[in-house]
Amino acid sequence: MEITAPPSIKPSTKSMKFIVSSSVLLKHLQMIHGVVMPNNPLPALDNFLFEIENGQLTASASDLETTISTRLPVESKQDITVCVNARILMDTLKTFPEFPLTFNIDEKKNTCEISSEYGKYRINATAAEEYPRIPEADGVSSVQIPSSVMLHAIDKTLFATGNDEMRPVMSGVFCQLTKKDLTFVATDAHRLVRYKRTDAGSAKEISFIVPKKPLTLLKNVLPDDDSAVKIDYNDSNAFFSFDNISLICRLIDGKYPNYEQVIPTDNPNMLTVDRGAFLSSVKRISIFANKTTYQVRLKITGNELIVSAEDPDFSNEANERLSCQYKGEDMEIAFNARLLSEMLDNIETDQVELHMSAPNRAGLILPPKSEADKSEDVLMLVMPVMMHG
Amino acid sequence: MDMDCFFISVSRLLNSKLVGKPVIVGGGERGVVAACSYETRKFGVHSAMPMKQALRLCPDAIVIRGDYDEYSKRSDEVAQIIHEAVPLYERSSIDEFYIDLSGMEKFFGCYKYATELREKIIHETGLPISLGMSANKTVSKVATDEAKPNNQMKIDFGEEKNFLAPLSVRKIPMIGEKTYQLLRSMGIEWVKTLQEMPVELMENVLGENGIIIWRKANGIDNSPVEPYREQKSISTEETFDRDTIDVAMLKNILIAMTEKLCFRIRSEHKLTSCITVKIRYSNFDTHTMQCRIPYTSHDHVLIGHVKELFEKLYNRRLLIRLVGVKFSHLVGGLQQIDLFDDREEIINLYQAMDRMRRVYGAHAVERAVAGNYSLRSFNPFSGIANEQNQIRPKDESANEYLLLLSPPSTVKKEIAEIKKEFHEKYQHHSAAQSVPHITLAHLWLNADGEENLIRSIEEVNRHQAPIKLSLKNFGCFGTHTIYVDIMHNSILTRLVKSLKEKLQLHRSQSFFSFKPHITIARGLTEEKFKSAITDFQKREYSASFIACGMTLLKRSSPQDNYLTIKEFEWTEVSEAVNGWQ
Repeated sequence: MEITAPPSIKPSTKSMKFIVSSSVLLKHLQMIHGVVMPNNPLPALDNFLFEIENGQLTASASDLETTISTRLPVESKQDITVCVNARILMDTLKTFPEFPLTFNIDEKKNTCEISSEYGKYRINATAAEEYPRIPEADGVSSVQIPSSVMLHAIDKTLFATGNDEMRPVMSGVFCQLTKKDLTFVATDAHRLVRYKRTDAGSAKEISFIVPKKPLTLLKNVLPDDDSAVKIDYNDSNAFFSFDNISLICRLIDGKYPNYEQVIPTDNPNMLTVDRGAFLSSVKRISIFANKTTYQVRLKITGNELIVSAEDPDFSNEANERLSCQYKGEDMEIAFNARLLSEMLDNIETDQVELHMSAPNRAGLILPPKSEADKSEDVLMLVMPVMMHG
Repeated sequence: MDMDCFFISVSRLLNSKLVGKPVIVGGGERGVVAACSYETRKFGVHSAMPMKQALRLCPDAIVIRGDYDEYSKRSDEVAQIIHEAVPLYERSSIDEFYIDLSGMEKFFGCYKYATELREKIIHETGLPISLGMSANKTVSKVATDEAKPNNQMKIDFGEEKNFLAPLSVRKIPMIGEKTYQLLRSMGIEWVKTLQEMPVELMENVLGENGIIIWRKANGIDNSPVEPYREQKSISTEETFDRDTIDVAMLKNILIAMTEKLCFRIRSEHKLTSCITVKIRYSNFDTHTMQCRIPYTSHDHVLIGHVKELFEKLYNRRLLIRLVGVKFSHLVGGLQQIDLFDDREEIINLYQAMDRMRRVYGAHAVERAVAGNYSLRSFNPFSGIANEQNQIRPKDESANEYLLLLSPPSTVKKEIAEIKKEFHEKYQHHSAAQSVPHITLAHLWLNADGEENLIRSIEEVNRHQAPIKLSLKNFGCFGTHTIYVDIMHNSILTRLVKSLKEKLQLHRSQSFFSFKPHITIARGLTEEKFKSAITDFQKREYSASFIACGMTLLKRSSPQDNYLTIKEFEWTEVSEAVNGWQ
């Protein structure tokens, strides 16, 4: 893309400027850009907030609930704060190869002029005062956990969160830290995931519910290594900081349902089956199920598992047989195939265990003890659909 | 293709006495005409006309309650014949079919093929059907109407406009009473005028529909023949005998309706995600309100929403004439159990209740508030009282009365034999227990109502001569009862009807049988029923006897046995005995 700058733009004497590498800036902005929503109630939120202090640029994006900032070094002689339209900046940066960019900010004209090797681009720059204030960490407690632990905990639970506006607590992940362990729980009332780690914890027992969006952002930026993530929190907000990034989010207020109570402990029927084979079978069979309810039936007799589905509206039906190991009475149980396959997708072991008791009670999906990571305890629960009579 | 006054034709097939007589199918006093025979049309009766008006126009008409089950069965038969014969057909209503014969002319000659198909239907089902053939659906429909009764017509390609031109605009589908009045006020009476009008004018007058009507008038209709579609909603509504403002009662009726619909969608393995509540005020203003919810078939969830909608909807201090509930956006599926809301007891409760309902009928268990207002003790179409209504002592102090015809001992013995055999073969204990009888009425009355009851029965039976009844083969109600069928006897029906009118009991207190039968076994599970019915459908049985009177029995609690309290004899000697069919 070649753009020639209009000749009328002349550097102003009052201008402030900073220089930054295009690709470095893009890399950092990509980490925070996810917060910016397409339709903002507040126009200022369409912008990135740039704050430069002692040659450090802090770029922030916010949707009022969640604010994420990243720090990077730039060349600058002054301290600057300015707001720049996020979409235009991102779209432009994506087209550039690696080269230095000069940002010239004219406070009088409220403009920001970017100069590249190709030419000049001027965009509207809003005064930083209009940008909503980012909450400060005050009255907080603090805890540190390894980044990889956090990453896996989010990864394993996030998919199971709900969307029901009537049950806001379920739209987030419940995080609980005790002296011995760390537990993340997510549920949408039809399935539940409990992810426990014994290799992390906190001196003080804490728990809070983090909304889905900041966790999605964290999942994309957390490094999969042993570096520490510092979590500060108070009653209303949580602050996550690591590397150059800090994320502040409002917590979901409310009481998380008593999940331990609904996890059945007495499950005499235990099925062990090859995870990959089971998963692809469920996915394939669900093609023949009703397109809204995706219900599939599991029939277990002896050492045979029959997965079947039908959609009488279109006369579709299918069934498959899988060999399995089974302890317990023969039974028939029906599930939503999407819930089932999402769970199977999120388990890494080769085999998978399905613990059940009755056709209208929860089924537990667990990685076999022999294969599982010792410090990790994953429990997935899926509610069946009601079979008649 | 369109069946000629389908309901009437089916009724005539079942009862040849109705042939050649003016017949109206429809509901009670406040109902409307569902169908009427050609004989009544001469008097100006037409369908959807209020019953009262119809009877004023044609007082001699025989009014019958429709038997919807029978109608759909017959309609299915016709559909089956069509299905076997043609590549693509649309069942646009119970008695109308559109058939797409594109591509068939090469091999068969469409008109010849359609004619043969029509003859086949008439031959195999005995129902008159008319046929109209043309290039599109609108013209075919009009042609079929023109061809009626029991005839056929073919409109050649290119002739559509000429065919429609001399007809009244009323003949065009979509033009109802209102539109017709409007067009007449504009001076349009014949389709020809409509054809010559500029389409823009029609659009100005009637909006979008104007264009469609104009296109139809010109014989242009590109809508495809669409195969029969799956039912997407289920609803029920109730018009009250007397308009009401009793909100508590209205709510309870809505609960009863919701419960009923819930059971039905669960039985059909469906879930709903859209509820509509409808009320009609006494001035005929009709209001509806709907809401979307996550897919469910649970009573308690749906009842909550229905009540909420009703509260929002009912905001005028006006008497209410009708309330209704509809579930739409149905999808096939089973209820997803909720981890936190659905305690195990609730799931087990629903499953247990549904099992009971399947065995003992839809009303076997219901919410206490709903039980006070049993909806439609009669299937509005079949006139067959649902068996389940019998298990319903409303008032603790009420006595239970049973009015029946007792067959002579020879017949009794034969049927008792069958019942015993049934018990042995299918292990259905109750089959062998009861004595064979023909129930005419089942009533719940306080002791002080007894005198009136006996007097009414006496009055009805006065001057009644013995009736000859014929038993023939076996039949079934739903999937729970198997019985010996009794050939329709109009005298008996009339007796029950006049008794019903005389007693004027609320339907929660009474059940009158318009389908006399001798029960072999009831309360069957679906499995038992299935294995038994295959045997009994093949099995033949016939007997006839002369019934000489009714017997009234009474018991004061369901645990007691019935005791005979009075016999009513038919002593008159007249043509009655010869008068049976």
